[in-house]
Amino acid sequence: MKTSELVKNYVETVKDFVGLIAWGSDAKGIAAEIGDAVHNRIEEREAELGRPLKEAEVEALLNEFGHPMAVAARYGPQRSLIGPTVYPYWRLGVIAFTAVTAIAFTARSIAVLFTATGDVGRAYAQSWGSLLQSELWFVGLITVIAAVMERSGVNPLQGWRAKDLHPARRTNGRVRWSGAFGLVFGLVGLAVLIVAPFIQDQLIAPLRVSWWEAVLGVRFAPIWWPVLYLFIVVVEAERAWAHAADAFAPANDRARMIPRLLMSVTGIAFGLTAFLSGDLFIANGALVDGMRLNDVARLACLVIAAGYIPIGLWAVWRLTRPRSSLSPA
Amino acid sequence: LVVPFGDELFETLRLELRRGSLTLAVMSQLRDERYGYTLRKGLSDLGMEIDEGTLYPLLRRLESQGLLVSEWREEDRRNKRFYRLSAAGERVFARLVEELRSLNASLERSLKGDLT
Repeated sequence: MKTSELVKNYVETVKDFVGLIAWGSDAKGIAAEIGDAVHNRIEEREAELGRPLKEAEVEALLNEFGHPMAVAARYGPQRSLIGPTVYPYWRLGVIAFTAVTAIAFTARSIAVLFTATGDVGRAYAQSWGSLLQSELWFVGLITVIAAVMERSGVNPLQGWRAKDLHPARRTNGRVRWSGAFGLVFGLVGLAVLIVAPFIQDQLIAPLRVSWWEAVLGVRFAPIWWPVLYLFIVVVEAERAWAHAADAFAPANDRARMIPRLLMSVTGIAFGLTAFLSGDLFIANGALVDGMRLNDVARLACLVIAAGYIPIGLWAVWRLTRPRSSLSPA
Repeated sequence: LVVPFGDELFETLRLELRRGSLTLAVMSQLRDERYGYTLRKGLSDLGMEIDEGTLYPLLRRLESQGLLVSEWREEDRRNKRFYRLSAAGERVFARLVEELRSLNASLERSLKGDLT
């Protein structure tokens, strides 16, 4: 192919892409200008070498100019789909949707483990099947909405008022309300846990049998009382302690992290003890497969133990991290 | 806090610094009429290298903003697009130069303070 044809093809392709990507631009004028720039570069190079350029050299020069699509894209009105004004909303939307779908799909997959009949593995896998599809669908939708907002000049960060701001954390010695609520609910839960064994007989007296055994044909294995039950009570007490520290000593890392470290150790101990204890449930009914139930329960206990590891690591890091001179005492 | 500071980061910051002054450099050259190639050469001779992929879209944008005017003319048996500052462009250019001088003075004072 002649070098002039190479340049002509390149310029024509740029023109086509300008028409496609940069609507409303003067595609013909842009292509002519690019063509002129290419010819100038060729002449400049030929003057340096004292001879006409070979085909490969013209090709290399066109490569330096860039792919026609990239060249055309530079003439578009805006290169980013979502700009910095709308992006924070887009990101928050994606994170929130991802968190909600993750929780929903996890709950559904756990329910499937207990209720599926036939091939449990396949049913479990299918329960996760539409997660990616849902996520992609939502990300696509929110991206289109954000792009429309961006181009229509909607600025969601305008018109805000300082008094409408609600910070998630309050420090410097002030009460942290999330910690106070956590403490209240933690104490109520703890009270229920402590009292429940003593009033259980009265609660279920009319039935004369535990409800879960009546309905599902399942009862707790002996390991729960008192061993695993005590672990749960201790963990909940430590959790309430941590919430109390959050509420009343939010700036005191030591007060906040020690109960979390203890909670982590107890939680891991609970999970491992339960996992190593053999059967956790005794199933007599026809509705639930006892072997499968125990396998799932033991696996869940391992997951619970693993879930406490980051809490412990976080607490250790906060307790041992070097303090800069700018950190509050 | 350890701040990574390598050649790559320096290059990014350097480009950012130069990009900010590119529009002004182009406008300063277009007080006299030029076409793309001679404009690029002129900037290059002044030590401001700019590739065509950046220069031509910038010229288009400045023209669409009313700061430049252009016309196609034949020169050396080839059609070329010549650009120069419009009246509005000259006014904006004068204000930008004033702003740059003020900014330079502030920076100079700040840098002197840092170096002493």
